Amino acid sequence: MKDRSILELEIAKLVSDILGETVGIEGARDTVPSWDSLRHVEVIFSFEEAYGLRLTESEMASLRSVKDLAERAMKG
Amino acid sequence: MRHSYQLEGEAYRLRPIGDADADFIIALRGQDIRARFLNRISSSVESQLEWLSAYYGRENDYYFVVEKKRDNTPEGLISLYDVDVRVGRAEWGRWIVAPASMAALESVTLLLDFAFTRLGLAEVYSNTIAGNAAVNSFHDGCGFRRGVLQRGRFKIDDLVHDAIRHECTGDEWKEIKPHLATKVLRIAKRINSHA
Repeated sequence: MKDRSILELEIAKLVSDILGETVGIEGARDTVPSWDSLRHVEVIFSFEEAYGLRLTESEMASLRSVKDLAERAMKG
Repeated sequence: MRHSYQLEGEAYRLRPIGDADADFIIALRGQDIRARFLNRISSSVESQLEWLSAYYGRENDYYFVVEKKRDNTPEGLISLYDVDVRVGRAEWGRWIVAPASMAALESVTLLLDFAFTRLGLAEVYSNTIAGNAAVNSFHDGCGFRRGVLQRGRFKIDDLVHDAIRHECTGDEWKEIKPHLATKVLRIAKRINSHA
């Protein structure tokens, strides 16, 4: 399993690529305006593909930050 | 107005709002941190019922509850109002979706489809507080065209706010909708598979 800090960096890169702006490991929907409802859909599906996961409906909405996503990736 | 439009989508529907939704309106608009960008509403059911009573009397106003089709859970609110059939224009707004919901995109898609295909409008627009960056980003991302800045459009808690207007014509919607529909379908497949 990857180290959490590596995962956070990977996911920050994934989110940055989708949003078209640099998002750090502290990035979250509440603090990054371009991480809106529309782009969140892209983030979620890209995240699933990258880590071979299938999120539940509640997870799709409740995972709102790079750290949330890293935590979920750690669980596998 | 008391309308009877029920708009069925892939995972969500829009249904007419009613008095029984007063508690839901208060809970959604009163507790969500994003409600700071909406006009204040009273937290009393009586006041909300009064507001709804006045709304029923307005002939050019369509207020909907966004509901999950699978289990009829209310997850949001959205409206089309100031409908001017003479010039074919209307504003949409009073839009708020529960933080734990994925209904945002489909609720907007259903409402704009309603405006253009059912009501036959030529153009719709929305006004969003300029400081509400996430919602303005959403409108930009959808492809809605930015109009003229609406100076001093909102007054909330005695503070005056400018608004960013986004506009969309029926012809533009024909171009935009397929892009959004792809995402709506993908979300819906997931939500419906959790039944």
